Amino acid sequence: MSYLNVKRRRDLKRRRWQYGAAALTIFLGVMIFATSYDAYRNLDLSYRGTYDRLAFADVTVTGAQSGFASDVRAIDGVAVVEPRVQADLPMRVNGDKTFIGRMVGMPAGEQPQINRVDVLVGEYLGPDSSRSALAETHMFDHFALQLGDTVEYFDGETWRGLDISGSALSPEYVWPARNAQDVLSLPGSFGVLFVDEGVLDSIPTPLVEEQDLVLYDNDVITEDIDSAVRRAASDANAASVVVLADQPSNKVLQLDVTGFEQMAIAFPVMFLLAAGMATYTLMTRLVYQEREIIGTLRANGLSRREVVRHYLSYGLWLGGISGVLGVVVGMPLGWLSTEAYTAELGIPDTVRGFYWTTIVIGILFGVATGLVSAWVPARSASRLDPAEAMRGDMTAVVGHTSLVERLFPVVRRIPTRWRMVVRGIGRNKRRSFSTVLGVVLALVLIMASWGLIDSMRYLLTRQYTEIQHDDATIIFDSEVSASKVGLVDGVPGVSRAESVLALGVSVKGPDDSYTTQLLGFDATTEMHQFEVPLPDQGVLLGRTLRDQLGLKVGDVATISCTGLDTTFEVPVAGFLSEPLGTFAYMRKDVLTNALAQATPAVAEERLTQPDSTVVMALFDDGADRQSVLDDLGSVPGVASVTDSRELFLLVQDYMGLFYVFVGMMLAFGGLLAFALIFNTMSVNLAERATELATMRANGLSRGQAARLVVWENLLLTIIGIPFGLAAGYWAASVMMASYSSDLFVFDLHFEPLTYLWCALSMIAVTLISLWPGVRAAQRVDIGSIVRQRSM
Amino acid sequence: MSAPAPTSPVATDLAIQTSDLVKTYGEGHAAVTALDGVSLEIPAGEFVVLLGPSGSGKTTLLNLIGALEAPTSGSLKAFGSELGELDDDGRTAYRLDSVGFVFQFYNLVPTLTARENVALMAELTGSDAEQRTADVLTAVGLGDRMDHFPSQLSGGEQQRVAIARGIVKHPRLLLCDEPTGALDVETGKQVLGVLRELANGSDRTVVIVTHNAVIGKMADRVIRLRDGSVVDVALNERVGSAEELDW
Ligand SMILES: Nc1ncnc2c1ncn2[C@@H]1O[C@H](COP(=O)(O)OP(=O)(O)OP(=O)(O)O)[C@@H](O)[C@H]1O
Ligand SMILES: [Mg+2]
Repeated sequence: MSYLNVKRRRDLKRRRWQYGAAALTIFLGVMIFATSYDAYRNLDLSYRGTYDRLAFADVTVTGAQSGFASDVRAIDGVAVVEPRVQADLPMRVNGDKTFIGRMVGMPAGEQPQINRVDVLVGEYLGPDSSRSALAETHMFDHFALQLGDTVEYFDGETWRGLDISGSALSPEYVWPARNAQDVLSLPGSFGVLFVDEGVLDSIPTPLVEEQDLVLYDNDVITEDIDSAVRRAASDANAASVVVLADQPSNKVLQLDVTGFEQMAIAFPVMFLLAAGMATYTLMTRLVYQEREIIGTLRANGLSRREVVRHYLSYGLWLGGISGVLGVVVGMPLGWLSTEAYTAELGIPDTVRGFYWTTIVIGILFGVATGLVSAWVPARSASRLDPAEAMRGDMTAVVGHTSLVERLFPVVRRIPTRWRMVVRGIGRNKRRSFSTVLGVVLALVLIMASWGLIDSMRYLLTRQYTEIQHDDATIIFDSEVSASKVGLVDGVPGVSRAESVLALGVSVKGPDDSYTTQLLGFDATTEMHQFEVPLPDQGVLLGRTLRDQLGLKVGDVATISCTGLDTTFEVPVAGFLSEPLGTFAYMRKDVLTNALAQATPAVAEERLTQPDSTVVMALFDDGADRQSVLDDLGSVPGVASVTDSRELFLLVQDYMGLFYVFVGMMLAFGGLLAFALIFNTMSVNLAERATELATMRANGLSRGQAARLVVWENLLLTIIGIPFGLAAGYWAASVMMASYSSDLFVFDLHFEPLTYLWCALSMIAVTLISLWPGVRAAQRVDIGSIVRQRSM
Repeated sequence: MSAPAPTSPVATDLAIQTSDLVKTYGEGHAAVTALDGVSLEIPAGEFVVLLGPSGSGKTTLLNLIGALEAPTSGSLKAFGSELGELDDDGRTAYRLDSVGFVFQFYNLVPTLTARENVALMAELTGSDAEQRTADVLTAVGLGDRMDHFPSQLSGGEQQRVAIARGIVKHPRLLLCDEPTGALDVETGKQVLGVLRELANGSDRTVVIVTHNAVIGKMADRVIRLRDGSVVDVALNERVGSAEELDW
């Protein structure tokens, strides 16, 4: 029946703002789905493309005995095993500040088979390149290196120079992380040089890590081969085994992929839920309003099916149009975000796929939302008894005292207009639910993002004010004696200096092993604050190792020291919940003792070498950081000075940017709530138009009438807020948990004021959503409303 | 003796006085003149019935008198003051102070009981709200149904609650638009009886709009409208009671 189509078009037009709000919400849900789902898939493929092309190692094994390579090669599914050497050494560029960089050996003349590099500037290392190096692209860019510039490194005895012959991108350093303990390395405090492997021959062996890189065949089940390789590595007494999934750069990037993936699910779910509820509210009202028309048409022979089809078609149009628009806008946005992202991180392979599934799923989401929300009203329309519907005198609202009044009889004594407000909530429970749902969904969005920021800020504050007190870490170029510690202590602005043992180790438990740093502090250290005192026996471990290694307090862990080539066993004395990185700690004397009894034993004098002992310094309050750091750099014998708090200070500077992100989520959340509250309010006002007009005719003022409806909705918002805060807290904690790993432990933390701001923002959103309705209600012509019959 | 001027049997003050009152809706070609130069006087304390066919402008006149709408031109005085000069706040104050409205559809707040619907208005107008509420509900014969919700009351009972709501603030003017339009004959008579009672022996003016000429028999004054003009004003020699009516 084409006139029914005309009717639908006019109905939709008459309530265009309300249907528009519902459509916008569906559109946003589908758009965000298309954007984030495409971005997620493209990103994943982009990484993989780069990884495949550059033959990124599936496993990196450090310190395995000879024979390991041939054992691994025999494992089914292993394609290539290749040896490699690397060393972490003090470096400096153009006499600038010294940092600990990494030198990675590469075969001269041709690229290795595994962990190849993309040479972006210059050329790959030629056959005679013992005096040149390719700088990893982050380092190249940060120091604005030119071909021919010199980078110096300290080989354990003296500073030597290498000429920069180009810039190279490596799959290992797409995200430039030194290791899992230090994934947030600042540009300029870390850098990688790819050099002729011969260069590393001249570096003292304890500083050089010997590695075996393993590449698997395509299309194999990685986990199976991983465990076979682990077994072989364990048999070969390897110091560390890092599989691709745990590789620091890859692991950080995966967090972003996870982020897009979560967004591709969570956002559409919330937006479509809100849109569905908004549409449902509108359609229910429409059917109610048209019950007499439906009755008359039915009495005149319109079939039930046609009635259902008519009202379903509203949802179909609404969802279909919004869904198509959402996909049309969302997919290009997905491409743009992939491109922006890969460009930002310098990922060379940008995959920009065209996925039919995104189109199909996106449009289906939109259509399904429209159809599902129109289904119940459409069905109830078709079930109207024509005779009854035409009479039209079904009293819509059955009054009763509210639960609140029954529970708290005092409420019965408040002025009648406030009682009316309280009872308004029970008047139409589905509508009230719709408002509460809007508040809850909005708070989930807002709190999930705000919780991320608060937690991150809290994590850093905790790490840098409660746990890690040192201001700088100093590495000397030779044996660290007490007098050298005294030299550091003597620098003006330094309040205290301590020598600290810092060993690269692999901690092994029954389930797995983990590569990290073992730090040995004095019992009275002021550089680091421990939740439990440093034990006089045993080791303290970061808590993620409890599950990962299968260790509990009292168990014995096996610790292999990579640089010292020794292994000892030590009981686990406790676990620490430190937020940034996962470390192992022992009292210095206990560690020295343990090493003296290790096999092979390590003499105490050996530990004073700069690869094992660093000096940490605390600054005076109010000292000029930069000048103290500079002064430390010029202390005789100092190879490098690292500012321990640079990251913390930097993040403080960028806090404003993070709040822009919270602001965006606030806008999205506000939109969600708006769509629901605005529609609910419109329907509510339509239903009460005559009732309010009659009271206005009897002398109720505009302001009084407005306050009645506003308070009723505000009350619903206030009811929704605690539920929203609880749901938001839960959502934030789920999100945090998904981001937590050995790299960062995100304990959800909210600043108390955040709750307040969230609650206030919801009240503000409610008032904004009510504004158009109240304005319209105030402009209404009482004279013409009282001419109509009540609906 | 000369023909008696139409004066009220109870009071001689004028409640309403209009001259050349015009109300036009819309503009240009679509303009509809609902009232076309109405001049009339309604003395205070009378029971007035406004008769006329559908579309003759009855509701329009009532809405103007109640200051729900503003006149297009002409003068409209209520109790001596010009309504056309009032702004929105002034009109609200006038309605709160002086006007009670009752409509064909009772338009009670469904979530409030009879008592609460009345108290809502009572509380807006000074102290003693509880007592006044109980009094007016008793006066309209609902003393025993005060705590029922609208959905638990019959049409006539709901209309009586609406009347109670209209008079609880003791307005000088009670304006009723088709108060019996949705009721059966017997219930209609009951409601009219209540209304008549409200005008008797007080200086309250009651104006009832209806297209049922029979109701005119119980009025002090019957005003007939046609096409937006007053065609006849008649004073009843003998005022009938509601029970005597028949339609
Ligand atoms: N808002 C409006 N816009 C245009 N015309 C209007 C409007 N309100 C009323 N009218 C017109 O004014 C005229 C008088 O209307 P009014 O409602 O006063 O009639 P009435 O005598 O009360 O009729 P009924 O007995 O049917 O209620 C009618 O022709 C009507 O169509
Ligand atoms: Mg009328």
